[in-house]
Amino acid sequence: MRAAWIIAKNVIEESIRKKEIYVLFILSVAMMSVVAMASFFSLTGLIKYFTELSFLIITYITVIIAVVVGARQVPTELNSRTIYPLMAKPLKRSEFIIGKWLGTSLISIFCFLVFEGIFIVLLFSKGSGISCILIQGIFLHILQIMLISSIVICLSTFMTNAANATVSILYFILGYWIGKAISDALDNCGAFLAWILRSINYILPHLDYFDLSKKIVHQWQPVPAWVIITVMIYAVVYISIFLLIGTLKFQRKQL
Amino acid sequence: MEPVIEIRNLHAEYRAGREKTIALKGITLSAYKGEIFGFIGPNGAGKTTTINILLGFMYPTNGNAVIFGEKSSSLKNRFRIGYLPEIAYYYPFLTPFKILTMYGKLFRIDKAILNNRIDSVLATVGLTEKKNTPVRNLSKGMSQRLGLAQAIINDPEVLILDEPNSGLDPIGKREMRDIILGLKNKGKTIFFSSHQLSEVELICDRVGIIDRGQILKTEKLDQIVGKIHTKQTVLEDIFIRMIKDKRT
Amino acid sequence: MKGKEAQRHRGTEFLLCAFATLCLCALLLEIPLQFYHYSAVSSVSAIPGGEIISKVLGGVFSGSADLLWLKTDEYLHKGVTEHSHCHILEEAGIGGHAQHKHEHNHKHKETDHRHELKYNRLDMLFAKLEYNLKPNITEHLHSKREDELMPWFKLTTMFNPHHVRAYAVGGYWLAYRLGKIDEAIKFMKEGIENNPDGYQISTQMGIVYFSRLKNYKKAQYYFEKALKSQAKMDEYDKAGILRFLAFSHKFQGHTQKAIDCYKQVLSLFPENKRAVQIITRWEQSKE
Repeated sequence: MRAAWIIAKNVIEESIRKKEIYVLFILSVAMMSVVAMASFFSLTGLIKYFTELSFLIITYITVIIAVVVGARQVPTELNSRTIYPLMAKPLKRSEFIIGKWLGTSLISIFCFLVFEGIFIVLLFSKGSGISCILIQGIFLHILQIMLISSIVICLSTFMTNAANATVSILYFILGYWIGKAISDALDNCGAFLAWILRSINYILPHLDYFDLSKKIVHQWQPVPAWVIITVMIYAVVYISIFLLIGTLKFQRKQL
Repeated sequence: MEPVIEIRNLHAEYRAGREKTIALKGITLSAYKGEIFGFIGPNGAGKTTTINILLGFMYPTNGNAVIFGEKSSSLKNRFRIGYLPEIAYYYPFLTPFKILTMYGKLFRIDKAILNNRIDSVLATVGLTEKKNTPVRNLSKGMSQRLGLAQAIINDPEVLILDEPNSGLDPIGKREMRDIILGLKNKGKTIFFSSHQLSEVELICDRVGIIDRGQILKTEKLDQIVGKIHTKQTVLEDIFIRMIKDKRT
Repeated sequence: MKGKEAQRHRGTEFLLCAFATLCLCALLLEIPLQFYHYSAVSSVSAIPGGEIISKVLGGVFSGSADLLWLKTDEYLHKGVTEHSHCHILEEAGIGGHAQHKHEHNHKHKETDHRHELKYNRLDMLFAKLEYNLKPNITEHLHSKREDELMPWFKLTTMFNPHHVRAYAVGGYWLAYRLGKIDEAIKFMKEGIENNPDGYQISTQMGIVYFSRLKNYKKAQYYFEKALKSQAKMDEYDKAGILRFLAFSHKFQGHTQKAIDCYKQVLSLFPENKRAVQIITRWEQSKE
């Protein structure tokens, strides 16, 4: 795993040197500031609206960072031929994939935590504070970033940059609706179609399980610990599956 | 003599959609301990494909490649191999020092030893002054030297060099030749692919000639050239004659 | 070069696949794209091909406005929206609002065993997770935090200035629940400017002048404006406006005009005894 960590550090170093993260950072801070400063009908202390929109901005910007950083990892290594000296070293292909995922996840999580820090500062300035459910929400979101990074890295082993980014973002949007869409469809379909739909429901990861934003916004009580643990196991299972698929695909790849 | 690299009946093909291109048609060759083996052939002959299989970048359709008696691409072997790719590109945002540190760590070299090793290899390839210059600011020749530096960072027993002179000026070629000969003197086995025959002629002990995925000859350089020839264009003449004969 | 071309080709293929997936998902989610009408960008139709552009962009804007409008409802119910797995929990009798539904459906369940067999333990686990991760018990927004609804009314109208309901309901909340009369009038004036035929906004404006500011002249003006609207209006709405108009006239001392208004109410609902009583009372007071 030491080799994977070396690859991860390289991903982080590369990402820090690229402009896109800084552009996205400025964009998100600007958007959050606009949301914080916006005034509606001379009302003051609007926390829920600010929390909801800030969470939305942070979620999307972080996912864009994960997708932008993750999607280019394997194709760029191949196109720029940097992969050849690297793979001639004592580095397993699985370590390469895990390293790429780890690096993508860490840089995205770091950005997410910075955004959350800014959000919390703004929240304090509005007279609110940190709640237990907010911490749970941040934790689940970190799991979601790791899951999305694993999907992006898996796809980057056989897709081009643009195709990967499109599919990943599309899945990120649809991943929230899979459960509901399938559940609705199940009520009006035959046994065979129902079997197929339910299989899809089990196979595809539900990204909405990592989203506590509504409970945070509407100041609900914290979620029971068993739920957080189950979601954590759920994330670990899917991350392992995607990394395994990515590794198998990359192992079969002729460089 | 003890063979270090053994390639037996190696077949390989490329697929682009439904199109299939046969790259290697059952090549067999060996490189022995302490020698410089020149692997020569025209462009597209299958030199890089052979090297790619040796390093595990590609999978053969048939046959096998062995280094130190086990599968050439095994993890264990990679600790003993150094590789210089034909066109060497390195992370442009890193400096030679950071690149060598990263590769050195992959070889699990201890940090204190690694720092000394980096200074030593940078001195060997003449890049000491550019230690902290980002790769994007290095010239092509310097990049090629950096390529050689990363290939020897683990003090390998076998060096696989794919077109090491590509893109180098005459001075660069001379320096590269001296470095390779220096490594040979240290007892390293060098597998060296090139189509610059004059270079091969000057440093190789044995050569293998490959064309269209087939080995035409594998012999000691002086046996191929024969005693009747004396000047440096000799290998080139023989090579061209051999290729022409085969194709006609 | 060949490799690069093949890669580009593959990229195009994937983009097409992604587009196809998007269309499929739109079908699956039953997004009613056909009902989206261009609104905020109607001026685009002046340029060649603008009709299509405005339909597409208008769809995006009005669709966003609709989502923002739904937010107001979500806020009103402490973030509760429809659950995908609620029906599974209902059958298992888990959860707050599920419980009373469970009792309600109990009789029906006894006769229908199909659903009981339909869900397995994994379904139940998913449903329980979802139940715990999302707001699950409908609870009305605490009156002190009703101001939290207001940004969504404003944002809805920013995305779709023709969202009449957002102006009307927003105006009501501002004036009646938050006591911000001036802001309510300003907001609804903007709504009337953008929607001259939006009789609901004029009516709401009239009600604010009538009941909050006791400015019957202004109230009369807005009720009359609402009645002149070309928009389709059902007879209940019309009768309601006429009643308010009648009282606006009455409080200004124009009893005959007030009676005329109530007569119109009576023409719409001839059985309305209350209208008859009021007309009789006002007729007598006039004498």
